[in-house]
Amino acid sequence: MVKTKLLIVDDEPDLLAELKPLLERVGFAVTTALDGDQALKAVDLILPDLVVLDVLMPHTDGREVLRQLRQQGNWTPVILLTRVGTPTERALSLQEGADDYLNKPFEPFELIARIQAVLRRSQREDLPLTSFRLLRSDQLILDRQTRRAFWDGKDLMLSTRAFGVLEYFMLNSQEIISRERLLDQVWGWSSLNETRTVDIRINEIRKTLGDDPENPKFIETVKGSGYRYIKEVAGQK
Amino acid sequence: MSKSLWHRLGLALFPLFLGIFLAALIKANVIENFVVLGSFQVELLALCLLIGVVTSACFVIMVLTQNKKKSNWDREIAQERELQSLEKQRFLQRLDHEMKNPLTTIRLGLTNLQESLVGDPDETETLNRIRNQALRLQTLVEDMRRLADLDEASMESEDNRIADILEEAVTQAKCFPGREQATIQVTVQEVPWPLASVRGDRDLLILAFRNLIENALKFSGSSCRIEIRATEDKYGILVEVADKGRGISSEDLEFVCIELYRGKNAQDQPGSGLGLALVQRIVALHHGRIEINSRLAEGTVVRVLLPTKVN
Repeated sequence: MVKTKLLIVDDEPDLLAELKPLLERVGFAVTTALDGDQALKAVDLILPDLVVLDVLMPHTDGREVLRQLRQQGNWTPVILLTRVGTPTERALSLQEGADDYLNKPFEPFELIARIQAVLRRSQREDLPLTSFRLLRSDQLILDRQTRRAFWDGKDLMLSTRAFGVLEYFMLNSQEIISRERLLDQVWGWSSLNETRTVDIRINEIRKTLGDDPENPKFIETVKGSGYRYIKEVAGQK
Repeated sequence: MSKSLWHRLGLALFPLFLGIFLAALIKANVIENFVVLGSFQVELLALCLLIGVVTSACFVIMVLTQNKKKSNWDREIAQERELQSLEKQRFLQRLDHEMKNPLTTIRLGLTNLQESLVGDPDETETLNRIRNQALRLQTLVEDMRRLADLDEASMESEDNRIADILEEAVTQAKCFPGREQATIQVTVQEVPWPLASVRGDRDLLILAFRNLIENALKFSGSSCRIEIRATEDKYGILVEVADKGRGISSEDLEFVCIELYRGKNAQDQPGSGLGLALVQRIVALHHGRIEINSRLAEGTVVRVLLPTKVN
C-alpha cells in the first residue's frame, strides 16, 4: 500500500523531531522542512498529499508559501499552524486558500484528526471550499467576504459569531464538530468559556434558518460529541 | 472647566472689585480724592483703579498658567497610563507567542512518551501530571493574553435583556462543584416597568456574571444563599451579586480586580486569579462600573452598573 505523503514545515527543529514520529506511527510518510524556501522545493520534489505549514517562519513565511503555491495553481491541501488566535487572523488564513488551520499549542490527536478530515475532503472535491467566496447550500448562500448570509436572496442578519459558526459548519460539512472546537475556532477564547455559549448561537442559527432540531435539515445534534452540518455544500466563485 | 478654576478666578478678581469699591467711595466724596505724597499730588481715584486692574490681571494670569500646567500634567498622566496598558498588552502577546512553540513541543513529546510506555503505572502518572501542569501553564498565559486583547472591535453588539443574561449565568454557575445545595435567588425589576435592554456582547456579559456568581459560591459554605438583584438606577441598570461568605479584607479590597492578585483569605481556593480582572474589563467595555462592598466574615456584595440603551 502506498503511504500518504505529508510535508511538515516549521522552523523549530525540536517540534519537528517530536511531530515526525507521531505522524509516522499513524501511518503517514513524513518529510520535514525548516523554512519556506525548503518547503517550496520539497513540494516540487516529493509531491506531498498534504502540507502542514507553520505560519511564522523567518524569510519566506507560511502565508507566503501558501500564496505562491496557490498562484502556481497548486491545490495541495494545506493545514496552517497559527500562533495568533484572533478570529480575523483565522478568517484571513481561510481566505488565502488554507484548507484548515490549527492554533498552537494543539492537542496532538486533534492534528491527526484534522489531517484525516482534510484528506477525506480533498478526495471528494476538486477545489477546497475554502477557495470560494460564496458557499451555497439549498437556498442558503454565505458571502465569506462581506460576512453576510442570505436565504433565497434575503439578508439573514446573523450576529458575527453565528455567521462564524455557520461558516465553519459549511466548510466542514458532514463532519462531527465538538463545542470545544467551535469555541476555539470561532470565539478564540475557549478556556474561559462554557460550551453552552455555543448552544445559544446554534439556536440562533436554527431559528434564523427555520431548522427543527428534532428533525434537522441543516444542523444535527450529535449526542455527547457536538454538531454536524448535514446538508450538501457547494462553492461558487 | 473645573469648579475650582472658577473659584480661583473669582478670588483673583477680588483686588479689582476692591479698587472699584474704593473708587466709588471717592466718587461719593467719602474719601478725599487728592493726596499729597512728598512733592507729588496724586489722584487717588485713578491710583485705586490702576492698582486693582494690575493686581487682578497678574492673579488671573497666574491662575490660568497654573491651570494649563495642571491640565497638561493630567493629559501626560493619562497618556502614560494608556501607553503602559498598551505596553502590557504587547508584552503579554509576546509572552504568549513565545510560549507556544515550547508548549507544542512539550505536548508532542509527552504524547510520544505515553505511546511508547509499556504500562508502568507510576510513570504514566508522572507523565499525566506533567501534561496537566503544561496545560495549566498554557491556559494561564492564554487567558492573560485574551484578557489584554479583549477590545470593542471583537465585541458583538446586540440588545440583551438582563433577565436572560442572569438566568443563563446562573444555569452555568450552578454546576460549580460542591455547591449543589446552594440557593441562588434572582430578582429582576418588573414593576413599575421592566428594565431596559443592555447593548453589548451577550457571551461576554454572561461570562462576567457567571464569574461573579461562581466567586460568591466559591467563598461561601456548601448550602449558602446567594442573592442577585437587578434594578433600575439613575445611570442604567444596577445588578448586585450578594453573598454571606467569608468576605474580603479592606486591605485586599482595592487590589482584588488586578490580574493574578489573590486575597489573603482566598489562597486556599483554586482559581486563576483572573476572574475579577476579567469581570472588570468586560464591564468597562460596556461603559459600566463595578463596586465591591465587603465585610470580613459577613459577606460581599458586588455592584455592577451598566448603562442602558436609553442613556
